[in-house]
This record gives sequence, C-alpha cells and structure tokens, in this order.
Amino acid sequence: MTAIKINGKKPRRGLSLLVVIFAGLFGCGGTHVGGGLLDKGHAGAMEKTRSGVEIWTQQCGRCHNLRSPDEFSYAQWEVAVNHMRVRATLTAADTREILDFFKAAAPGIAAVPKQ
Amino acid sequence: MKASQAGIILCAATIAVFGISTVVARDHTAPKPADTLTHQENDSLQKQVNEEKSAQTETFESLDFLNKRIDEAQTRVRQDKAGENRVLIAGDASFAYTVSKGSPSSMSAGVAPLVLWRLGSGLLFEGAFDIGVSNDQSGSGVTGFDLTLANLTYLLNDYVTLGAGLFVVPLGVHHNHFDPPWISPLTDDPLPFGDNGIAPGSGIGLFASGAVPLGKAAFNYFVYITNGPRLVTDDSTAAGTLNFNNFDDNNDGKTFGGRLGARPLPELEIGYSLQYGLVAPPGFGHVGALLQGADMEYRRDVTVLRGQADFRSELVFSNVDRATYGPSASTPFAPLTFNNNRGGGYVQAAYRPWMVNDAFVRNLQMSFRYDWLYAPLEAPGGDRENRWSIGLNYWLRPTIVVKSSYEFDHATVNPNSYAVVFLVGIGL
Repeated sequence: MTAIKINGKKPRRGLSLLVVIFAGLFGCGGTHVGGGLLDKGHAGAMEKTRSGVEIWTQQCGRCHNLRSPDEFSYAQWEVAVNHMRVRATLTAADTREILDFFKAAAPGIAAVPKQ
Repeated sequence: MKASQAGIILCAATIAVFGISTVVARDHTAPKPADTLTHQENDSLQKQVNEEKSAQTETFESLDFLNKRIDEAQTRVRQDKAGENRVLIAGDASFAYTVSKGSPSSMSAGVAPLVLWRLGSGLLFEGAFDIGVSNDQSGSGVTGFDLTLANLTYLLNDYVTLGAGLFVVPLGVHHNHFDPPWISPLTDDPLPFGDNGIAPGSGIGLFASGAVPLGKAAFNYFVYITNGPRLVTDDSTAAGTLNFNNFDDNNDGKTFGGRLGARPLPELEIGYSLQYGLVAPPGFGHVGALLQGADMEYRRDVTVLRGQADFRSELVFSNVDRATYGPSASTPFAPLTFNNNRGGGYVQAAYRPWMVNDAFVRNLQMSFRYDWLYAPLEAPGGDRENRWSIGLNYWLRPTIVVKSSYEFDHATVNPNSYAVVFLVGIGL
C-alpha cells in the first residue's frame, strides 16, 4: 500500500482525524431549519417565499430557536423583525425577505387571489 | 259462394283493415302525457341545469373570495386601530435554584419585559426592565426595578439606522445576542460579561448602525457615543474597576466605540469591537480606558450528528491607564498604583440532537463552556479566575427551557468553588 505524503512527509494521524471531524461537522451539514420548528402547515408559505424562509432560519436561528410564525400576527412580526434588524444588524433586504415570509405564513393576513 | 256473399266479406274485411289502421294511426298521434319529454326538451333542460350549476359554483367562489376580502379588511382595520398590535411585549423570565460552595442554597426569580413600539414608518421604540426580588441589609424583602433599555431608533435607509437613548452597547455580542436565559445554553453569563465583568451592558448616548450585503456575505457596523463607564477610585475593595452604570456622567469626556462584523457564511459571524473614553472623575487626573473585544458565533444543523451544533467564543480586553488610587474621606486606604490591564473570554459549545426520532432525546441539549477573567493581582479584588461549566438542558418549547449546570471555579487568590444551578428560562 502506498502511503500518502504531503511535501514528502506522512500527514500526522491527529491532523487527519481533525480534518475528518471538521469535514463531518461543517461539510456535511443539512438544511438549517433552526430546531425543526417548521411544520407542514407552513409548507405553502415556505414554497412562496423560499428565500425568506432560508434567511429567517439562518439569520434568526444563528442566535436562538425559532418562534412559530403563528405566535404573532403579521403586524406584531413587523415590529419584532424591524427590532431585530437593529439589534442583530440584519440587512434591509434580509429583513424584507423575512417579512414577506411572515406575510404569507402568519395569521391575520388572508391569501387573496388575484383578479 | 255467391258473388253477393263474397262482396259482403270483402267489404267487411276492408272495413276491418281500415278500422284497425285508423286506431293504430290514432295511437301514433295521441297527445303525450304531461311527464314525458322529448329529446330536444331533455337536452335543453340539461343544458339549463349545467348552466345553473356553473353559475352556482361561480357564486360560491365569489362568496369565498368576498369572505377572504372581508377577513383581510377586518384584519387591517384591527391592525390600524390606534394602540393595538403596534406594541409588542416580549422579553424573558427565569426561575433558578442555586447550590454553591460556601453559600446557602437559594431560589430566585426574575422577569425582564421588553416593550417594542412601532411609532410609524421606520420609527421604533425599545424599552426593557429588569424586575427581581431580593433582601436588603436589614433582611427585608425588596423588589428591584431597573430600566435597562429605553431608546428610539429611526431606519433612515437600507444602510443606516440612527438611534438615541439607553441601548445595548455592542462590545462583544453576549449582551446583545445571547444574554436572555432562553437563548444562552448555560445558566449564567460568561465571566467577562457577568456582574464583576469587564464588558459594558448598556449605555446612554447616540448610535448609528447598519448592514451591507455583498453577495451571500454581509458586513455590519455599529458606532456609538455614550457617557462611558466610571472609574472606581475611592473604594478599597474595587479601586481600578469600571462601573458601567454611569448614567449620570462623572466627567465631560465621552466614550466612543463601535463594532465591525462580517458574515462570510449565513451560519457564521465574526466581529471586532472597541471603545475608548476618559473615565476618571474630575480632579483625579487624565485616565483613559480602552476596551476591545473579538467574537465568533457559528450555529448550524449537522446531518451526520443528527442535530444542531453551536459554537461561540469571545475575548475581551480592558486597558485602563496606570493611576494611583488614594485614600478618600469616605474610604481611607493606602495609595495603590498598578498597571490596570484585565482580560477575559469564553469558549462555548452546545449540541442538540433534534433530528433523532425519539421525542425526549431530541429536546435535550448538552453544553460546555470554559471562561476566564484575569485582573491584576496587585489591584483590589485582583485574581486569575478560570471556570469550567457543563450543562444539560431540556427544551419544553422553542422558547422554554429547563437548564441545569455544574460549574467548577478555580482562582489564584480566592478559594476554589463550585455551583450547581437549575434554571427555567422563558422567552416571552
């Protein structure tokens, strides 16, 4: 069996193990959904605002578990998300995408068909 | 047969045939019964029924549409009513039971309401309070009520937000992001951010902040001017420390600071922060304090681990100009002069296997933290403190967690100690 060499030296076993661990942790990650909170009831809203869902789970889920979209009305989400835009220095574009998702998912706003 | 007989028979036969034919013909032309339709009538009626069914379906769809429009209009009316829904009360609450070496075990509780008010387009108010109970020196029960946040912000445009008031100072990110008990995976603050820490919590002043996207990455900034901390000069047990509750400024020198952050990946944020200001009271001399912080947060789901991994680390440095802390009328003590450089930090990891099928296991969370705080040994209260903490949490809901932790504290001057803490953290 031919040994793998880097710069003429065999890599250290500890270094290899570290690479494998980091590859496993950071390279094989699944979709970030922030604690698996999303249920099938929000699937429609998710389809409509795919990028909003991703941004919501990534930006909000980076610090804390995600609250259910049902927890607040859309008007309340507007207050909360704009507050977090300041507190967590979110970009304005991300804030709008997140609010678009809540507009589709939060209670209080009916999905009105276009005429 | 005679010819006359044959004629009679023929006549009779002819009459019979014509008679039958007439009857048959009468049967064909007889009026139809009232409940019988022709094919044409049947088709016509069927067409009418189909048209009416179609019209009925359209009516139902229209009604459904109208109902939705009415619901939406009612919702908008409710939302636009003054005093409703523009205010959101959030915040956190906690209940804890602490067993620590050298102290009686004790239970405690507190609540920190956060009031968010959207005053208009782009105008937001944020207010927060810490409400807790304790005993005063005489043993009487007292309720503490501290105003921790009260600021007004204006979203000027996509890249600039302006604010004024009492706000969270972003020296590092622990107080800004991870402070609430339902967010932090452990039961208390890391040492540099604790009660005797070296990082400020909030300050009164002005700030500007914003974020700029760059592809999938984003950069953010936060700059501020505040009253700044107050240098303790006349307390023999705390001389040289910074008191961050400097709400009535003790000098004319203001403190400037800021934080620059980068999110190269959506799951990762790194940042550097600093602040500088004059901190001594009038007559004490020119003493400046430079605080610096570096932070890293990474949190994502890891399929191979069937759960969520969470890494956080921060470093904080405090450099206060060399000064001599002398006696005062209230607290006489021998003059002390020392280099006042302090440092601290923490490394923290948490894991929650939320992807496993077992409902109990996926709500568990394990956490680990190593934190430290170094203060000059020649300073009052100076020590080199290192602490190891392990935690096991159970999430009842995404915003309600039951936490437990064991902490072992090793110090150079003070005796080693340990603590076991149980805490319920609630996000309101």
